Amino acid sequence: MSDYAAALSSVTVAYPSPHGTVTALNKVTIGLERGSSTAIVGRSGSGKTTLISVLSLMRRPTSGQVFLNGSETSALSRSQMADLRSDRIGVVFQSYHLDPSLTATENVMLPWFFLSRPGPRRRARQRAEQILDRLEVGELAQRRPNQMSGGQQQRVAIGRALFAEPSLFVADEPTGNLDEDTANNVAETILSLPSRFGTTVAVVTHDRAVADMAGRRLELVRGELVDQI
Amino acid sequence: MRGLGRILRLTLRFNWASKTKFALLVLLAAVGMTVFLVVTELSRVSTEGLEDAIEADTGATGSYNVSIDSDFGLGPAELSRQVAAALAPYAIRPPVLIEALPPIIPECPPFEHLGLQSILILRDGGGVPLAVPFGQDLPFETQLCFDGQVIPYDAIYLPTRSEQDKWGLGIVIHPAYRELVALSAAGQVNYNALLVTGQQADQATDILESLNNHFREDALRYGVERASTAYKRLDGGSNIRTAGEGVGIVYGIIRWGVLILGGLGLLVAEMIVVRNRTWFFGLARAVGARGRHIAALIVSDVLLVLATGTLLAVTLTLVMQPAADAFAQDAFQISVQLLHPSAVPQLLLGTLLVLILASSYPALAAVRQDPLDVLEPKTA
Repeated sequence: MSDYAAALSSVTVAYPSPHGTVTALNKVTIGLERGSSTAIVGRSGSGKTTLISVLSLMRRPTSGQVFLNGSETSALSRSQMADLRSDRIGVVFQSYHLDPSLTATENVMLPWFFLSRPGPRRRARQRAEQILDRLEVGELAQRRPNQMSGGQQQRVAIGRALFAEPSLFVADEPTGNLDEDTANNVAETILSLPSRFGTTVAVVTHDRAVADMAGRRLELVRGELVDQI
Repeated sequence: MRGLGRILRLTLRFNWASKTKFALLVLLAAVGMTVFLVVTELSRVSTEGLEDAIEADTGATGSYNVSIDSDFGLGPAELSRQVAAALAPYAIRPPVLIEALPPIIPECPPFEHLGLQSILILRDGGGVPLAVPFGQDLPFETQLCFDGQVIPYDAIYLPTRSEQDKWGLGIVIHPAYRELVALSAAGQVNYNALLVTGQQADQATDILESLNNHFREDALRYGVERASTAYKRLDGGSNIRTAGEGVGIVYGIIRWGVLILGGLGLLVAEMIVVRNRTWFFGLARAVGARGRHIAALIVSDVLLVLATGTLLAVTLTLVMQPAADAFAQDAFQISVQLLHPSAVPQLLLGTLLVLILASSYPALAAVRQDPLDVLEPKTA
């Protein structure tokens, strides 16, 4: 498992529900190689988002093991998991989740407010501006989310996920709210991260075009991994 | 806590973006704090005024007039000091020694028609003449005459009725004229000690025992059985005092009630903030915020409102001070100080109470949010 940026070993996630236990993931085993890009596809309810939530350490599996950079994470406390999310993992969501009261730069540097070793604010601001430049939205640095298009907002959200220089970048339907052209641009941006930043990328998507752009594709059906390409 | 400065900066940023909400909450806090300060001062002046009036009319709580059966050859000044030492464990203020010289008949106006008059000399616990307003309200030509000797008006004090209740009937003279009167009078000199314990409970037995123990050897030497055998409790008006305490309690309920209502208002507002910013707390957790970061965001939000509101309230009370004092002087002949030093600790305590009340539950609610549920409510 040490060869992988992130790996799941026989991970099962089950939820209690009024109709009995729902198994969202069933003994899923995958490994994400360092600097690779992986698309996770599947129908609604197939367990894609659950898989992402486990990979990004936002949810503990019911059983199985989760490895991050070769280290098993099940014994970690909530605070240690939060630190790992802060330092090693960048997450992007379908609905951008940019704070409307903050500028693009401030949204990108949001993780700085919670880092255990944050460094000076001026340096954080410079880094945020550099990230926006590299994502080709540098001219929007002082704009607020309501002054940007959907694609621009998603790029800012990607910038926020990259702020702490994570080794793992996960995105949940990052193009779900975008038109086709913008979606392709955003997908290209995300899937170029391994070559530009050396980051390992995992993207949940139902968009075949986006999935085809990834180096590898995993398909989930009813919580089980059925296809790896 | 590490990172508190960054959390405060973020809180400032959010409130700057919601100026109207912030201003309204600050106004709510400021009104609550101002009412708290005003009622605190009203409570202080009214209870102090009431206490002064009760003390003037019925004596301070735990007032005793204790007889001292002899001066044991110590002389009045030394006797005062010894009595003060004997009563020190019980006294909340220095006891007063009242020396009642034998009655005499004054021989010149305006007292010559009054017959026998007791002459009183008052000393404090250090044996020093008690500072009473000698000559107050007396005509310039007023004199006390004995055997051709004269005590001028500015060495004479006529006690008020309430003072007579404490000291006994008589005319108070300056101790400098004691020998003059003593030479003209024949009879026994009586000593009484005026003691204030501040305690409602009866301590007479302990007081007499303390005196008798202190003067045991002197009493034996002088052939006196006990130093003191009699006392009179001077204070009364317990019902008025109880009513006064009731007024204080009502004021307390009003001011703390206003503060708690303000706190509840802030609590509701903060719950709305938590609800509106649920996604943000989830996002913050997703990018690495710990539970304490989320709690600190809520607490600092309330703290910012409270601190600004308190500053505004203090400013308001300082601005209102001259007008409030002038009104109180005109209407009630009392002086008010809206930001009285004694109110500051209460204000800080009140602020802390509101901070805890308004931030604890919202902070707990925000910390309990599952980042996934708030960010991606759908089930994959």
